Amino acid sequence: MGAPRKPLEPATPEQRLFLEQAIEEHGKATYNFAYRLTRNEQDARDLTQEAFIRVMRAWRSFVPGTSFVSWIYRIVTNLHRDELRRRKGRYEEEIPEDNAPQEFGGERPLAEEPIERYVEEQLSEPVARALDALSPDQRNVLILADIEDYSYQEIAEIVGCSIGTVRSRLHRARHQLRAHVERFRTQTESSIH
Amino acid sequence: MQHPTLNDLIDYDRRELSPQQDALVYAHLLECASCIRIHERETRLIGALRSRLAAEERDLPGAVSLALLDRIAAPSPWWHRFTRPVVALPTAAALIAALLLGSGYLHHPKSPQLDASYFMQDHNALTHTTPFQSDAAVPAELASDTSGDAQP
Ligand SMILES: [Zn+2]
Repeated sequence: MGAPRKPLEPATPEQRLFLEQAIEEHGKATYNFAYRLTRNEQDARDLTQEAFIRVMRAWRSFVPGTSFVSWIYRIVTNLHRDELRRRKGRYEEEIPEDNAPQEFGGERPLAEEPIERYVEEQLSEPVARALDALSPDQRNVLILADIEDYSYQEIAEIVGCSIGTVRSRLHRARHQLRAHVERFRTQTESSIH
Repeated sequence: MQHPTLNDLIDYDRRELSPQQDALVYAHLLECASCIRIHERETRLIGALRSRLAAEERDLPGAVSLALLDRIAAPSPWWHRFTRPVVALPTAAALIAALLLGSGYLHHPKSPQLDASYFMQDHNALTHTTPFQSDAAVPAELASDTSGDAQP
């Protein structure tokens, strides 16, 4: 974000009404989603603003009865991806994940992990830092699944990938989150003692 | 059954397993202590994430809505420029001055204006003679030209 704002065609009264209503009803959710993706207030503001401009331009393509929030989350996701590409020169998309149906069940070592010892409040700070440390793609899927409660199918539509990719991306995100939380907890404890 | 994997537990929580798999995990979680512990740990982790993000939740800043509505606003009509104080004050002063001057001008006696009829009347007055009338005034120039003949 931070790109120069393009001058806009003035909105028609219908577009303006649509935009005002959309901001009123979904502005907060959109802004919080953008903030969770970017983990940065200024970027979240810019992202939200651009997303609503896209909504206003494409307002006629919105089908009443479908989920407006899913629609604008998809726009936010795409804008965020574009912005990351612009900043990095190229967007480092994750290696295509295992889309094949996963084998269910199986033996696994059930080592007791230290997270079990912590109460939720103790996890608050490490979990926030762990979220920051995830890749944007993993963070996006994690938020859509575990915070926004979308199904894998819905996430696939929002993100623009297969259900298999959503599934494995969420698995990796959870694994990374767990590992980061553990690392940050250990760091905090060693700095206290 | 075999223990479900951690990924199975994630899919189970997200209700993304097939009905058969879902039933198996459900039944397994009723009796396997180590899987219960792992499942609880995962639940606690996501619970902490949800709480944290709920605490971070914020309202859409008013500046964002205002900027949005400003960006889509139609450009102001030209006369709106004169409502801005910087422009309005000098404009008002100029208008008042113009009115004062204008009103003085309007009440000033009208300058004499000569029109064509004036010249016609004047001309007629000077030259109006009835040549064969005895008491007619003789125009000066004629009198001088015919001084000798005029005397009987
Ligand atoms: Zn088990």
